[in-house]
Amino acid sequence: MNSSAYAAFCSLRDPVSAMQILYKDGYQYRSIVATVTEQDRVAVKDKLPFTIHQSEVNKHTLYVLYKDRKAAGFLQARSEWAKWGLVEIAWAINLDRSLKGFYFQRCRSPECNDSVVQDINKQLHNKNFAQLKSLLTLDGEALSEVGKNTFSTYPTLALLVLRSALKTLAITDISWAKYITKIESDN
Amino acid sequence: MKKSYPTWTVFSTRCLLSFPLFVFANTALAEFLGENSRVSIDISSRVSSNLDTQDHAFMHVLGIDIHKVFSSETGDIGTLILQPYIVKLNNVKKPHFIFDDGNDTKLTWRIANFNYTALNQGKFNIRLGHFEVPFGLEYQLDTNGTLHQLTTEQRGIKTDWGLSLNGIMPSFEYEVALTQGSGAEISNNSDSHLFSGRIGTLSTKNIVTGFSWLSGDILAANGVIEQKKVALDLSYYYYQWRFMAESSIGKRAGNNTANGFAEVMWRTPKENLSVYTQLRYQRAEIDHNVSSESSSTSNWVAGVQWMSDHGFDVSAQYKHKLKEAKNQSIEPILSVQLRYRM
Repeated sequence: MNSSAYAAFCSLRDPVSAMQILYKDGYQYRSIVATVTEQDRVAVKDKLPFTIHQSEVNKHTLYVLYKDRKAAGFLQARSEWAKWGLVEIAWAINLDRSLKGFYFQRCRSPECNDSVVQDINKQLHNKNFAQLKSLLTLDGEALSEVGKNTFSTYPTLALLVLRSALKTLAITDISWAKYITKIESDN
Repeated sequence: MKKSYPTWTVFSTRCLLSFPLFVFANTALAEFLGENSRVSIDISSRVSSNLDTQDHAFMHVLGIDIHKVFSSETGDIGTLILQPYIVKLNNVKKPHFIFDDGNDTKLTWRIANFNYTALNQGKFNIRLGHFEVPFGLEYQLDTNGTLHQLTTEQRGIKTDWGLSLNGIMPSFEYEVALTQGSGAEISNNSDSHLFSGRIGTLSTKNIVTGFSWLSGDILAANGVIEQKKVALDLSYYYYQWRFMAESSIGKRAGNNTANGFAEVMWRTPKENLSVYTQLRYQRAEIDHNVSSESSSTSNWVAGVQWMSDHGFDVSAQYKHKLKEAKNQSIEPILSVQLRYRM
């Protein structure tokens, strides 16, 4: 996003804390750097009523987590704009592209504390793209009735997290398609 | 009669004319490096003006930033970062000692290291090469190539050549380094060396604290200077605000020293505009062998940085004295920098 898209590469850090918390011990990770193109950005719009920001048309990393030399899942960090600044969320994704969970790599609001993360994670765990989409209104700008009932305590933060989750799942399938196909066939 | 142009005009014009070449070089280099690589060209020009004497010093920088992750079939092996930069000085009154004079041009390595990460899920890595000395607040943030600096000036060394052990554990981060003490250049001077480290809480949280130390003989303009230092640093993030402080005590060439630093920064929600102000305090014994008499200096800094969506970065900073020592004047310096990364 804006502040990080042109940051020097020495500031790039692997989301190690997120991997340790979301995947625990015994996992190895492999980076796959892919270019997210303008066409990919348009393709996200076909799947969702919103898409990624233009400044995200750039190189990004998808981490593949391995256990006992077998692929066990993915992890991708994404930035979202909030009214208090950039929020960076690391998403753990199961091999079937349902959500395993998330970790705030950066969220400068005191609301983003461990108990909130735990609550939202509980609701998102193992949900797939269609199930997540149903938690938003058709235009994707608000929580649906189901979404409001699910996230009655932190609706604003939940909306931000949900939109991030959907964009992450969509862009993962689009920009890393050829790598994911190979990983699935190797497993 | 031959017309002469200011150096910055010549440099900027050359950079603009070379733009297609840079784009081509950028793409070609990324192709050459293969999968999992990133390449960026980094250009900047800076003017620093002494408002008392009206002296204007220029620094023009052109560099390549390379990032490549080496992987096996089931895991990353390590990350290579190479940042060679050509630095051209113009009319600089007190250049860093690696430059021959205030109009020198030199190839420097900002960062150049390989971090071996295959051992234990990022918990225990081995870094070899040229990297930032793990000490204080500066370690958490990337301030390379920016006007915005933290406490490096107090130590006289920002990066160094050597070896480090580093990693991120579930509740803390660490880096411990054994380096040459020579700073920007690989030194043949066997007298210099540096042992440094920082252990801190996770930098992903909104409250981050760390303990740092360094001990060794650091290469300076007139030979090596013995330094020992310990520091505590604290960062607190609250919505668009960032508060940071660092306090250190130690010895420099046998004289007791104490340093303090505090910064407040505010950013717009999109983080493309930031403003900050800093306070710096330094106390040092004048000559420990003669008496325990000490002198202190302090100054404040205010800065602003704007980043565009397209890689441009414009920043300005002003530094002014609060208190200066007899033999150490603090000049009012206004700096402006234009930077572009592609």
